[in-house]
Amino acid sequence: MSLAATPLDAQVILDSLPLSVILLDQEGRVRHANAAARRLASVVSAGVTEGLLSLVEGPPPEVRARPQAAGDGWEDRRACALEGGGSLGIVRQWRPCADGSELTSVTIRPASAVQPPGAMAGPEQEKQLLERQSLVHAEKLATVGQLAAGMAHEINNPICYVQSNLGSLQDYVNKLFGLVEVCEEIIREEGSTTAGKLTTLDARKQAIDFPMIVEDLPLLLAESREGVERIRQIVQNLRDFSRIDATEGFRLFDIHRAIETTLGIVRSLSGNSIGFATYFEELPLVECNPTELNQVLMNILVNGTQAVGQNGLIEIHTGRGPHHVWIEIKDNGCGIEEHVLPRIFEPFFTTKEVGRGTGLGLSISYGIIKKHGGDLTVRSRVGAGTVFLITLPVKQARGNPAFTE
Amino acid sequence: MTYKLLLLDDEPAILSALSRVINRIGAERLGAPCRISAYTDASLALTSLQSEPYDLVITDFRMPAMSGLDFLREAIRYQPDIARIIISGHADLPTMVAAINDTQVFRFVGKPWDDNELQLAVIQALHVYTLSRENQRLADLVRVQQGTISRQEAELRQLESECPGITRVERDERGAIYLDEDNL
Ligand SMILES: Nc1ncnc2c1ncn2[C@@H]1O[C@H](COP(=O)(O)OP(=O)(O)OP(=O)(O)O)[C@@H](O)[C@H]1O
Ligand SMILES: [Mg+2]
Repeated sequence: MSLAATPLDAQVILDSLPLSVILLDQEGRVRHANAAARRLASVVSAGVTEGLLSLVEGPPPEVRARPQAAGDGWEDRRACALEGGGSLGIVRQWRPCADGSELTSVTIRPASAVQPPGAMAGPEQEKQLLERQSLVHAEKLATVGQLAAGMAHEINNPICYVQSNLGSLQDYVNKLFGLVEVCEEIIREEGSTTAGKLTTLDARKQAIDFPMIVEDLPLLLAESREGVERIRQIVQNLRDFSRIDATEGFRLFDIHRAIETTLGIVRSLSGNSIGFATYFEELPLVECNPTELNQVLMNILVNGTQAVGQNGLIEIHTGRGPHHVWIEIKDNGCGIEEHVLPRIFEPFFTTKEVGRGTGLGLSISYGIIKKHGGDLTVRSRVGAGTVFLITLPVKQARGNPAFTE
Repeated sequence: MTYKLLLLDDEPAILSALSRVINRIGAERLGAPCRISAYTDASLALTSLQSEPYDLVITDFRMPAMSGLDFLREAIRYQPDIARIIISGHADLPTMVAAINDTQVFRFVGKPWDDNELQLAVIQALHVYTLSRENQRLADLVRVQQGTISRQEAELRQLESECPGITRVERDERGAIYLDEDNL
């Protein structure tokens, strides 16, 4: 191996390799690193050389595990922390060469993180991926806070009247019990005529406003049941939305159910002033991560509710192609200005005031849809409204590393 | 005499529940029977306030079309001495301060409310209202006797408190009277 003879060619060849190759000198200093290695090193540390050194640097020879047999070499394994959080698994091997020197090879396992299809362990993507994962977490927390406030208000109204109605019911029932007792007394009363008994009974009925109770009691029960049903529905929606098993992976799921669930929550968050309409076509079950899909729908729908004003209307259409399904979410809100449109999927890009938007919703949604092998696109006209189009493959490609059965 | 109450909340079931609690007070404790008009729509409630005299108005604070505070501001333009109660799920301090300063609300009742507390608030509001109206009448009587206002003016005030709007007849430039057909 005479690299020195044709340094340029060797470098070109090495740089074109997808593998990281690092050459060390006798002292263990980095002599050459190909492009892949340099990219990898920059993930570990901002200073490329430190990154490389930390990857291949070994413990002094005396502490290395003894070779099992001659020619076997040495090996050690360790985890390497990344600057952006997370870690890489590193296996290093030293093989004695014929000339007495050592050949060091380093195998780097990708972080256990899920990777989007297509985006391989290229450092840029890797960094972005890690970033995105912590963002997903932050976003989840933000959504939970927003949800909790909305839910508290939404559940409060039915609780108000159900609780108060129970008080009224108790009052009615006490009066009715009293009436039964009076009836008994009247019947047992000796020496009074039937007409006289009826007069006493009528007087008593009038005192408790008997006709009113007869009329109102069924209404009271019906309204209270409706209130409890509303609370049940809200809780059910919340459950569906944030399944406790957050690590849930891909499974066959009814897209329409995901839409209904999320819509239920968004509706209650946004009051009665916005109209929602769904136009569903028959769809197959889709292989997806339901929790994440709910999150995407939530983000887009919340954006929609924030964009519409008076007479706000949000329409959701669904349909299918031979191997994919699509969901179109359309609002008649303010629209997005042309120069802003290319930026809306960027993390932290927001036009909303502090406290209202973090600018993460769409970038996270985009990541999730891409991870599913789908696509998220947008069309918009200022003053007319905005349309988001989600397309998803019905079946996940087996090669998708995010997809585990 | 009958007390007249106006209830406003965007949720019909809340209105029914409130009506039940108030009806349960009973005429003996209230001093007179009461009649409740319930509205889910603030503008309809305001229309009614323009022609019907009420003793007490109870409104929700958070409603989609109009806040309870804005509603009360309008309401007291038609009936300045109506007694007022706000029901609110989350009465934060700035809201309460605004309500007290702008609309002199008589009582805040939380959501969910305590039935006894609400009943007590209604009883007290009506008593205070009746007292202040009686005071007004007596004061006017004294003023008539002292000659500060004419008997006719006192009559007008009395009339106005019984039929809101009746003394504010609108005339065009030739002196013809406008009759609002909706109010007939
Ligand atoms: N339906 C829409 N109508 C108009 N503008 C939109 C719409 N959806 C997104 N946008 C624009 O895209 C920007 C980015 O949206 P994104 O959801 O990523 O962040 P955000 O809504 O500002 O904040 P967050 O969702 O994190 O609370 C928004 O600030 C807004 O300017
Ligand atoms: Mg958003």
